[in-house]
Amino acid sequence: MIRTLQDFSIGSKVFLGFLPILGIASAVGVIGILATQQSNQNLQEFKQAGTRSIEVLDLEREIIDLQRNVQMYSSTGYHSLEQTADLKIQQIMQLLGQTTQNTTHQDNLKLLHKMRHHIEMYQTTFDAVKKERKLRTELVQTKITALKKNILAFLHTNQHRQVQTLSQTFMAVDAGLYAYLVDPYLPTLIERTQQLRHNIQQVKHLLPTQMKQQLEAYLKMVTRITQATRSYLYLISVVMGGVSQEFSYTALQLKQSILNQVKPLTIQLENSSQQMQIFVWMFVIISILIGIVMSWTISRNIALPIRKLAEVFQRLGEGEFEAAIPFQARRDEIGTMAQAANVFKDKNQQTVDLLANQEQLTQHLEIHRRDLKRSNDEMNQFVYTVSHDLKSPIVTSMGFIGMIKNLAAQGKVDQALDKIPRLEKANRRMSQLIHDLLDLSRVGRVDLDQKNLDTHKVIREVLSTFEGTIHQHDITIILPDEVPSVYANESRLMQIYENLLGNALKYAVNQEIKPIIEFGSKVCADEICLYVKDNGPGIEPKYHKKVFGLFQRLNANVEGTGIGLSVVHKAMLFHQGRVWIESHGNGDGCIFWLAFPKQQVTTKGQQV
Amino acid sequence: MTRVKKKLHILLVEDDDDHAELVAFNLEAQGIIKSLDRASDGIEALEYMKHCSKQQNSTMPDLILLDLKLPKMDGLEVLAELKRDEAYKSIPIVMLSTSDSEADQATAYQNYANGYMIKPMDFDIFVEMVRDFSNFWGKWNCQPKHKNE
Repeated sequence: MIRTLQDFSIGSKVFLGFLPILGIASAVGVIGILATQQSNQNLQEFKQAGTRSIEVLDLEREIIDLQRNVQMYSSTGYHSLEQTADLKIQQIMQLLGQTTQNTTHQDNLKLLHKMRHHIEMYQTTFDAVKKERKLRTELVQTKITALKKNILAFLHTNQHRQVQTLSQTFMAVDAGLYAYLVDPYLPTLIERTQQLRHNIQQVKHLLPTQMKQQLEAYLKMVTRITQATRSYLYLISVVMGGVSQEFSYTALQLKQSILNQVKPLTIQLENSSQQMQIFVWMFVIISILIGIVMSWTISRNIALPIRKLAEVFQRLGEGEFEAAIPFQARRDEIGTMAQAANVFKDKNQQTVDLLANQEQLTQHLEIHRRDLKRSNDEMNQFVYTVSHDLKSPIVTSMGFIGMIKNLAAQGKVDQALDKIPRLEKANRRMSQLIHDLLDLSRVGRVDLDQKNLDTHKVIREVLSTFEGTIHQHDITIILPDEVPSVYANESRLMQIYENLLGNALKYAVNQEIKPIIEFGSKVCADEICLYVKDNGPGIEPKYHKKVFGLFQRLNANVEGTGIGLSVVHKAMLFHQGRVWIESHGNGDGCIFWLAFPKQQVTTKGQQV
Repeated sequence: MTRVKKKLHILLVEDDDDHAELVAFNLEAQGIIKSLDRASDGIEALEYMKHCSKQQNSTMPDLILLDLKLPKMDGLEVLAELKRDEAYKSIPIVMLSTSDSEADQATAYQNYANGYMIKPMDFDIFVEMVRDFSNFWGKWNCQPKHKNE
């Protein structure tokens, strides 16, 4: 099964959209971390190199400082300066040791080793310098002073001229010695010493042996002082100066070497940072591009359908139930939403159906209401008519009784007796009225059972009840062999035929022409049509409806109650059929049509 | 002071022969009848009126006694028809019916009936009614004379 983009839920789509961006971000992060690790390492090395070069610089500074210190010491001979110099040497040694410990590079180690060698040499030389310097001090401060005192004591006591010259020379040498101690580069001392030697040779004979020895010792001591001075001066300015120079130079070399070693690191760092920058820029651009493309795709895939659905919802909300709901096939949230919207559609449909139903019900109700009103009106009319028509014979009866009484009182017995048949007639009419009204009230109320009836047989039975009248007036009856059967109540159908036949007889017999009454039927569309036809005076079309009303009579003086046709009408309504008149009313007879519904016969007939 | 009853030309519109005889008998007894004509349905009544208005030698009735329930044309329709017509509208029409329905009375008066009487079932009361009716119309009522065109 191929899953399209529409098959994923919105959540998955958003997740899908963010996934590449998340991936890129993670990649950038990982690369950044790795690059930083490398850079860190490089930086560490760089930092170490920096520390080393600072240390080397310190060393160089220290050695210069030391050399100056040593020179100061050479000129003053202070013990404190000597100690300081020793301490400095120790410090340098320590520093060197430290640097050596932290150094791994072979070339640097070699150089450091060389430096160590130099400083050791420096120390050895300084030890020699100290010895010479101490010796000179000792000679100058103690030994030569004692000798000088003895010599001067002797020379001052001897007044010999030559001895006095010697004394002056000695004093000059002594002065020269002190001057020399101040500035060893003065040449005067040597000259004066030679002069003194010379003077000693001249006055040798004048001097006691002890004095000669003491002068020899003095000269020897001066020589030793100059030797010591020269020695330490040499050692300091030449040997130690050289060594310190050498040390400084090596330090410089070391510095250069360290810098050289750092250089590729710097380049590497620069390169990696540049690469990193390019890399990050690239990923940022790619992320932005992917982000834009993904959001566009997803928003198109989500927002567009939602907008379309919203339009449809609005239309559904306005009650439009035929609005087609798109995206129902989608298997994401939009699909679910679209499917859910069907409920609204169905509801709308239901509402419309309900409204239609309600409309129908209202119509039914209205029909029933009208039926009820009509029935009520009919009832009122009935009560009104009945009360009127029942009163009428009573008025007659009472009236005639009164008249009879009056006539009798006046002695007009014959006239009074003449009135009695009228009185009888009124009472008969009253009783007939009551009988007919009872008949009418029975229609549709009793004898509800209906079945397929042999109409032919019913007509024959009705005819038999009127047999006397038919014979009396020699009436021709036409009844065909075939009359279609109808689905009806037997008593009602009989009543209908009785009334129609009675009516026909009533009007037909009072004519000059021979009465003919015909029964028959006709095939109609969906009804069974039966008829009773006479050749009486007929009924004018304007009275065709009226005659079916209760107590409606066209001729008040023809026998009858005006109920018979009402019974027919009501009975036909009860059978869902109808009754109507076909006549012009100008003496060409009258046809009463009865129409029974056809389907009633078949459907109900099957039930029976 | 005694007044002699006038003799009136009355048209009785009544479908029931017995009722017509009863009314005639009583009116006759009251002695106000100059002539009593009878129509047995509404159409006949209207035809009678037309006939009277056209014939030179016949006179219009002084009073019409009109039954309410008539075959072919109802009494109230006859009333409305006559009262609509300039030629007949001044002729007094008194309704005479078995109906005691207020609606009928209202309709009758709306159509300018000049009276409404209910046929009493008791004969003595019937007699009394006709007597009082005769006294009023025969003795006390004054009305213009109707001329034929």
